[in-house]
Amino acid sequence: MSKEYLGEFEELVLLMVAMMKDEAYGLGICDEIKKQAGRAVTIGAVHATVARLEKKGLVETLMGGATNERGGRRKRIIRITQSGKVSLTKSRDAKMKIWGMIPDLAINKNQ
Amino acid sequence: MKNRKAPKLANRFLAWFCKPDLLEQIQGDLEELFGRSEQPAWKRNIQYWYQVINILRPFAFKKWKVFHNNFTTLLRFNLLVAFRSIRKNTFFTALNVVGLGLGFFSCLLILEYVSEQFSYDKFHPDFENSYRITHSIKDSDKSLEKIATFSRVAEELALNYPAIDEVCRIFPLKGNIVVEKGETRFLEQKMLGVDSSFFDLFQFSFLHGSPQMALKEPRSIVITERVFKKFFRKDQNPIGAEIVINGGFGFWSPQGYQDRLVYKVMGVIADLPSNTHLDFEYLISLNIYPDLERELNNWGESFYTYFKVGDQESIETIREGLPSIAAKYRPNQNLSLGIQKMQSIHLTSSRTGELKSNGSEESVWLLVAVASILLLIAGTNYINFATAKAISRQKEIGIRKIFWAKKHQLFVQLMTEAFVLNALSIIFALLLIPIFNPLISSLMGFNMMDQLFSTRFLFIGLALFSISSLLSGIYPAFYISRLKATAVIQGTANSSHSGVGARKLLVGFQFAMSLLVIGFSAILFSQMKYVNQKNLGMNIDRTVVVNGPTIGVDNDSIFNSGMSYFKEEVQRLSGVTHMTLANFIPGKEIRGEANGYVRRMGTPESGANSYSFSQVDYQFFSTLEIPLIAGRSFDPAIASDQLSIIINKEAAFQLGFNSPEQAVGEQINYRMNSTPMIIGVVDNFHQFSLRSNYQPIIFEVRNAPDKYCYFKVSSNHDLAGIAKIQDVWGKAFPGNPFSFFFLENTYANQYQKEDQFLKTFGLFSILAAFVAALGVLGLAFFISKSIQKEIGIRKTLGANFYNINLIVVKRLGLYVALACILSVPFVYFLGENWLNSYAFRIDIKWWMLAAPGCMLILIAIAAVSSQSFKAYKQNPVQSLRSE
Repeated sequence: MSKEYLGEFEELVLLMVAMMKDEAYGLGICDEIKKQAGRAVTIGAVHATVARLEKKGLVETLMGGATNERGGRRKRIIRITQSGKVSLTKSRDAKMKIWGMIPDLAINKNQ
Repeated sequence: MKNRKAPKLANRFLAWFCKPDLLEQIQGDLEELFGRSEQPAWKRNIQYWYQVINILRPFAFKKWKVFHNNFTTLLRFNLLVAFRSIRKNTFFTALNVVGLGLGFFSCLLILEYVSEQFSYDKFHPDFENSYRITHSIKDSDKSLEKIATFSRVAEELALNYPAIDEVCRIFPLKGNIVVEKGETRFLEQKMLGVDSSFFDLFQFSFLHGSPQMALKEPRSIVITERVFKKFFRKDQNPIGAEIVINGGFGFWSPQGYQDRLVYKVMGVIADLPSNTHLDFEYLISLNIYPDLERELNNWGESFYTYFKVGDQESIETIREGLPSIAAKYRPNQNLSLGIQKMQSIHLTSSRTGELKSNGSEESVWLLVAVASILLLIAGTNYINFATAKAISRQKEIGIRKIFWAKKHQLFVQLMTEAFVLNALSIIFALLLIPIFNPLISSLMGFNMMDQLFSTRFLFIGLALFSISSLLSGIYPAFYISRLKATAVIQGTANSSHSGVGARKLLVGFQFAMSLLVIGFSAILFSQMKYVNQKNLGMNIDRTVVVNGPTIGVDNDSIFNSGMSYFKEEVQRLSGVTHMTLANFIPGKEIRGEANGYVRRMGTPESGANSYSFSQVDYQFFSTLEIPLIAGRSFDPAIASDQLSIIINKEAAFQLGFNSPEQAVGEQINYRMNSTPMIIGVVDNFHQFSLRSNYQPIIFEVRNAPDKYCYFKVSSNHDLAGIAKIQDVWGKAFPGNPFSFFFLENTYANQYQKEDQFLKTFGLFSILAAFVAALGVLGLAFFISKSIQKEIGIRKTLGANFYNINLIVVKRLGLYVALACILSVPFVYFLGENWLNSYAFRIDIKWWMLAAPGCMLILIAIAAVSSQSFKAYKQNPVQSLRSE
């Protein structure tokens, strides 16, 4: 696993985190992925990915509020860091450039 | 709020494996998800479990160390202590590892060998219910143990005993058989004629064809892979191909004697595994022509008869029925037919006519004994060293005992030391295996490397390791943990006397065992030397033997003219000094009759005599330098000699003549109503190895007997000369493969098995003695160390090396000497037992027992002296200085 490049699922989770701002936590990310991308993912997959992202320094986490539905347990809130934002942009830009080079599927054309 | 509980078991499972840091957030998520689910209860629970299982990823696992807290820590601690004590006593440890390692090495080898020997013939299905008939004739003073019996036995068994599932006769084909396919010809000898039920009794893996069809049709032949490669290409399908067999089996037909028969290949089997008593390359079906069955019943005792029963109880019925079969067909003989289990053939059967020379259960057990003795000696060493060392570890042990409340903890620690040491030893042993594999293969006949990773081997290794660790660790552990802690620390536990008696006894025991094996080896080697040097009664040096021709020589006159041409030309070659022809060679069985018919004219028939008949030419006795002791040799000028016979001394004796001279001029009843006259008697020669007695042989003379041509050449390496002989052969007998061998080598092959046994046994005995010597070395080391102060004092008082050495020697010497003396009767007993299996043997001389004993004692003294010398050298000031 290279330190520099994002895996597909990692990128997805990172995007969600960026999108959810300060509301991102394990189950929340699962729900958003289901809602936005239509993929059913398990809690374990998300938490594992978040741990990896944290290790790579692309997110930071801190304990958040407890609720009744969680049986009084706190959530772990996940926030994207600057380097996480940078890596997202890098990835997007690289892909956009290549998309642009494909004549039939140029972004300009509407499906 | 819905009142629902998440599955408890899932939660507990989660808490068990999950890191505590992550537990809270994950459980929170799970509960939230669970709480809002709209699904029915059972589906919710399944989904919960599904989520939990998905947490089983590396990131969530607890750190391993946290898992097993108490047990592993204690284990690691014990191991650490064990390693430390090993490092501190490298000398003793090295001795132990080498000794035990050698012990394991030999045990592993021998056990592997034993299981291989006991696995013979067990790959056939229902081998427990498979049997072979034995044919024994007993007279007043002699008995004849054979396997070949007459054909009717099989018939009787098949017809009258419904409990028998299958019966099969095996008929070994004799003589020089030439196998021909197209232009390719080979001289072959391992051919068996079998009934079509062969593959119902014996299972072999088929490369082409199937067991059901292989022998069903008349004139079928089955070959092994090796033969297949000789005659066919790899991709050819041999089924249905025709092969011609010349010789081996022939019959009279209106057209004359037919021994060139065409067979169809109906099966190819993989090469035979080594663990079977059968030995063949070709199987031909006995169904050669329609009336053959009737013929076979006239053939006399030539069939090996095997059968298989459905259940064990019926064996008794069969056994009871055998005497009536014997009485029905051989009423005038003391014939007793018996039954032997097929699985015991290899280890216990050594009758006349075995297909290949079998092993012997006795040698297997002897090897087991010597390997066990080796291991025992090594284990004893360990015990001795451990108890001796205990004294020098007094302080350490004393402190340990004080700190540890539980007595058994010290015990456990010492057992761990034993285990670690044994582990090192077994690793050492395993390392020895690849290094010595070539030597072992040549001695024991199997390749250790193949077996190295088999389950059987691992199991044996593990078993050895565990047993040895337990046994070697128990006594020292007990002994040490019982020493009183306080006394030990103060150093008042008197080292010189506690346990010393037991140690000396053990050393004595080791030496007794060593002497046993070395003494026995000495006897074995002496016997072998005797065997190698004994005068055979004939001269087989520098003798090349060529197998006689089979093709194109059906007609006697063709054969004779070819042979006389051959003889003339060969004798003109330089390098060939003598030439003779005979239909037998020393070392291989000669055809014979044993039905009691052959007897001195006028005497009654008796069953147990078996004479061998052979045909030789006029130069035979002079070529092989067999002396004539009465009468005269065959004379080409005297025509009637062709109807007379010469017998050897043993035959004369068996025929009832009081002296060889008496036999000359007498007549005997011979086969087919002929009564030839004896014109001469030759001295006995060893037809077979010295294990067998002299054979009684009757010789007829012919101008050109077929089968074997002997040449005396100038040297054993004259391959150029042999090539010239081959040329002449090609001209004299075109189309016949040329095959030769040196008589000395084939004759010596008879001793191959015992030679191997000897070398193996001898090797292990030397190792055993070596390990015992290591033991003495170690103990001497210890003793000199412990009496260091005494030595210092004596030295200052003027003692010299001799005096000091004497002290140490005396401590050990007495026991060693006593042990050696005590084991002498055992060596004698074992030696006598072994030697009795030889018809010609040495007597056990006193020096055979004394020499090894003295040698061992000298080795012991040398070991002891080396240590006491070291102690002597030490400056008394050093040793007397108080600590």
